[in-house]
Amino acid sequence: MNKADISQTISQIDLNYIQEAMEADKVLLNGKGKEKQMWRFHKAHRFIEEILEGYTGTTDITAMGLQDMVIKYEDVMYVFSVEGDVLVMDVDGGKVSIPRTQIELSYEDLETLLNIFSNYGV
Amino acid sequence: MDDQEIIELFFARSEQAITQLQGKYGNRCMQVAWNILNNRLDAEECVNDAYLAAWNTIPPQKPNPLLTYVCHIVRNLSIKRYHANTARKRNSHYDVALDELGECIQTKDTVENELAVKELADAINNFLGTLSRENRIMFIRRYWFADSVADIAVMLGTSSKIVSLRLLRVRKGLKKYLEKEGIWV
Repeated sequence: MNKADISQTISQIDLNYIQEAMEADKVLLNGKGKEKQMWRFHKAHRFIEEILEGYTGTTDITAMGLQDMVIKYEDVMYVFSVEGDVLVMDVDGGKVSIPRTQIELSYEDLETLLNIFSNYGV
Repeated sequence: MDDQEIIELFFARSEQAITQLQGKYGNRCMQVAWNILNNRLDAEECVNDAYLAAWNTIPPQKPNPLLTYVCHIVRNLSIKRYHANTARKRNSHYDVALDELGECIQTKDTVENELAVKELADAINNFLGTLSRENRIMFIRRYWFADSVADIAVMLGTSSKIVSLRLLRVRKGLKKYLEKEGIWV
């Protein structure tokens, strides 16, 4: 049986089971507080790791789930928010506006972000 | 806006239906497509095509729950795209999940594939019914949603090692079940 057949077979799993599994991340996605924050950190962490593996210089920062995230790291406050078509990174009061998609981030920037998330144990 | 109201917008042929659907479930749909395709542009295209498919099928369909319905479309379109892309490049993330499953899913029939797939899918559904809720969720998150083991571990509040071990046991259980049913050869 080839991979296309396996995919097709798995596509036919009962929708009730899919719904059940869907609920598993709904709790985290709709939840509040530390658990939700950790989940988002984890997603961002993994995303950045994947980017670093095949680093090309451009990425979609919104896919990292960074928007609306507040991180304090080594006494510096990082606030990420979305204003219209740009993602704003507010670093200790100094705002950096970047397009939401296909922004340019240096390898060092990404490594810094990765260190921030690693510091949180995610 | 709740699902019922979004479906009413579809029935009224209001383009707001797509906007509301995207606003409410866009991220979840993107996650499903991204897990399979690992490419933002391809994923976005599949999600947009899924919105169009929803527009073309609602009405007459009145899906409940709406999210499962749309994600199902996204997944099918993403898999189609994935296999079309495979000739050009490989997505190790989804390949790994398929390889894991390939170790325990085989059928005796390769000629009448469609029937074999149907028979196998029925058997897997029956097998899933025998699992604990948590094991079933792990299995589906891994092989339907193509989530990474690490993501599943965070989702269920456990370690990656435990998730890997439990998935291994589930796969072994599945193989045994398929052998018993005469499907595995």
